[in-house]
Amino acid sequence: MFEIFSYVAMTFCGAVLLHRGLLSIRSCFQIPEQSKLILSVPFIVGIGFLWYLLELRFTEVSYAWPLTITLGAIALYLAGIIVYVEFRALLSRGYSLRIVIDLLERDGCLGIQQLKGSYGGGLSLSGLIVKRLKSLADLGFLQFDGRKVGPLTPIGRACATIAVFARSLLRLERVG
Amino acid sequence: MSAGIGAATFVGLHVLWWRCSASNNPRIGLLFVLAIIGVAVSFTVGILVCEIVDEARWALLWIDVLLVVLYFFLYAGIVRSVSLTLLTHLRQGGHQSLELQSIIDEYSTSSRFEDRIRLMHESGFVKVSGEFVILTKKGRLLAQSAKGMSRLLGTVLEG
Repeated sequence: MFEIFSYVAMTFCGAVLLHRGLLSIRSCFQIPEQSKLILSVPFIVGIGFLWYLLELRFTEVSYAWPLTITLGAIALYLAGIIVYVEFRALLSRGYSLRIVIDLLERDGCLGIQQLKGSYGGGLSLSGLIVKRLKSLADLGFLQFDGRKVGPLTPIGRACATIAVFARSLLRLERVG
Repeated sequence: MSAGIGAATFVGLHVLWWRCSASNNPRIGLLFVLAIIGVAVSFTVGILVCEIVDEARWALLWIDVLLVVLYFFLYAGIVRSVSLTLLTHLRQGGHQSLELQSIIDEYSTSSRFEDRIRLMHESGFVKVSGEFVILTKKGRLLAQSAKGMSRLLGTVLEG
């Protein structure tokens, strides 16, 4: 079993390194942001590679429940990829994390109002909201022309409805 | 099947606990404990009912790990996502569009920013002294680590 685990770890590390390499190439050649889909290729290729490795392994050693083991290994690999992607997203878009970094960049002490105004390295809270709205519009969740926001698209409405339901189910009053 | 039963137990316990004792603190530690209970249930069902043997037990654990990871990130989004909050705000407006400034005003005047500061204060990353927010040693370490990780992973700390 340790061997299968090492296959997963090896595939994960390979996919992450490949992803990081693609990011460097993108920034070197100044390829636009729209190429995000290309960045997911290493992760998808990783699934195929892992499947291939396991198939090779199963021809050498016989296991009980081979399909379950293959699915389990892919699940572990996907869990690693999700943690990696979410960790990157947290670094990039973490609200609380950005507050701590703003404080660090201003000698570690600031008034709450100043902190609000200088959020995101001078972006401010309004800048944060505009950025989020632009992202949501790019994803097709709502319409946004820079001045008027909305209405929501059907997919945006569905997401909002699910969020309202989940938040009320868990009795979360102060959110986001 | 056993992974599904474990996941259902975890989600069921989570909903039940959160409904019985509401809090605005994300309570990730408690959620982690509930996840372990879910995994234990999944294992018990797997071994006793489905009679899963040796290596397949590891596979079951890995499937459980994936489900728990997925749920944790889904929950983090539900609790803290600014984008989701904006979507729910717009949903209240029905099929009409809203002025950007009204959304900014609503968000800026709400206590969400102060809530974040309070949670970070409770976690020991900052200290609040009157109107001032002071970065603690722990917070400084977090910010410096985040900057280092961001360089390593090639992300921009936009916020």
